Amino acid sequence: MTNSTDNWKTQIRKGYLELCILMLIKQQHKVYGFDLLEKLSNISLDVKEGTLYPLLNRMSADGLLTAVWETENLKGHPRKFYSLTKYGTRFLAEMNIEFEQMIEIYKQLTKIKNEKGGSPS
Amino acid sequence: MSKMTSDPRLENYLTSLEQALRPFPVSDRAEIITEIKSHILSALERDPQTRLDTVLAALGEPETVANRYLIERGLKPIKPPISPVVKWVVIGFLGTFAMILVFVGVLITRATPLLHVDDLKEKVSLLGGLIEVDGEAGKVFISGSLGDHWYSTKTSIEGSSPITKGQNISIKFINGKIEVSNTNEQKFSWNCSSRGSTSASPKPIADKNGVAFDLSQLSWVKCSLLVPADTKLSIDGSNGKLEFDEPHYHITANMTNGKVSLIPDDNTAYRYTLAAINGKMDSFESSNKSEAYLVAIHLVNGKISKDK
Repeated sequence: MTNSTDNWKTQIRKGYLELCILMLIKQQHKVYGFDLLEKLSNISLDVKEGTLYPLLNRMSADGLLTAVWETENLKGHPRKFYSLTKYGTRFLAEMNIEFEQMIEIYKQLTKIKNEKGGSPS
Repeated sequence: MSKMTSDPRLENYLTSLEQALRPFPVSDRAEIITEIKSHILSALERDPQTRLDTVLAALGEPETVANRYLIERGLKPIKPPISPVVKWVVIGFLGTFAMILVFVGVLITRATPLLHVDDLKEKVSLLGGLIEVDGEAGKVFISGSLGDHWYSTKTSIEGSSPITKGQNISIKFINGKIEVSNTNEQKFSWNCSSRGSTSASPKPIADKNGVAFDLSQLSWVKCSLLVPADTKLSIDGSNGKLEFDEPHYHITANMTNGKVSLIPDDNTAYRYTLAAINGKMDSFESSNKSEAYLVAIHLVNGKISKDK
C-alpha cells in the first residue's frame, strides 16, 4: 500500500465516518462513546477509540451534537450520552443529500465503464 | 469499580493525558478525562477478562490521543509523540552513558590522586599508587594485573681500595655531587649511585702512585667518599657540587660550573691556592706552616664557600 493511497483513504474516510456517526446517533436518539464504537464495529466500520472521541469532541464544539452525563443504573459509572442538536439534524439532512448525489455520479461512472466494456446483460 | 479507579496504571495514563491536553481550558480537559475514564471502565465492565493494559494499548499513547483532540479542534499539537522504539533507544543510550560514567568515576576514585609528589622523600605517585617512582631508591614500581613489579633506574657502586699516606686519589666526574669525608682506615672508600642505568660500570684503577677513578660515564652521580689522612686528593669535575668536610688531606680540584664547599677544620692549617673565575669566593685564612695541607681549587663559574 503506497502512501498516496493511504492518504486518499484517510481523507475520504474522514467525511464518510462523520456521516455514518451522525446517522447512527440519529437512529439511536442518544448514545455513549463505547456503545457507539460497538455499533460501528457491528456494521464492519472499525473505528479506533483514539479517533472517535476526538471526533465527537469536535462535532460537539461545532454544535452538531449535544451531550449529557447520565448513570444508567445505581452501581454504574457516569456515561456521556450524545444526541443530535437541531442544527445537527439539519446538517445531517444536507450531508445525506450531498452524499446521495455523489453516489449517483459514482453509479453513472461505473455504468458507463461497464457498457463500454461490453459486458453481456 | 473503586478498586479499578485506584489502579496506578490508570491514574498514570489519565495524568499523562491531562498533561498533554494543556492547550485546552480546564473545563474541557476535565470533560475529556472523565469521558476517557468512562470508556475504560465500560470496556472493562463489558468483558471482565480484558486486562487494563489491553484497553490502554487500544486507546494509544496519551500524547497521541491528546494530539488527535488538538488537531480536531484546530489546535497545534504539543509535540510529536515519541515512538516506543525511539524511547527505548534513548533509554538504552542514556543507560550506556550512565554505565560509562560510573566506570570512569570508579577509575578516578581508585586512581586518586592522579599525581602526588613528595619532594622530601623524592617520591612520585601516579594514578593513586598504580605507578610509584622512588627517586631515592631509584626504583619505579608498577602495579598490574600480572603482578607488581619494581624497575630499577639506579646504578650503585660501592667499594674500597687500600691506600697509604702520600699516595694520590684521582677522581673525574661530570654532572653530580661528590661529598668527601675523613676516615681513620688506611683505605679509600666510595659509595656512589647514579640515576639512570648504565652499561658502563666504572672501576678504579690502582697503581704505585695511588688510585684513579673515572666516574664521568655515570649520569647524575652522587658519591660519598672516605679519604684517609695525609693523602693527595685530586678531583676534576664539571656541573655539580663538591663538598670537603674538614679535610685532613691535600686537595687539588678543578671544577667547571658548580659549587665547591670547603669546610675547614679549625684545628688544622691549610695553605690555599684558590681561584674562582667568573664567580664568588668566601675568604679563607691561609697558613705558612710546613704541616699545612695544600688546598688548590680552580673553579670556573660558581662559588667557593665555607659552608654547605
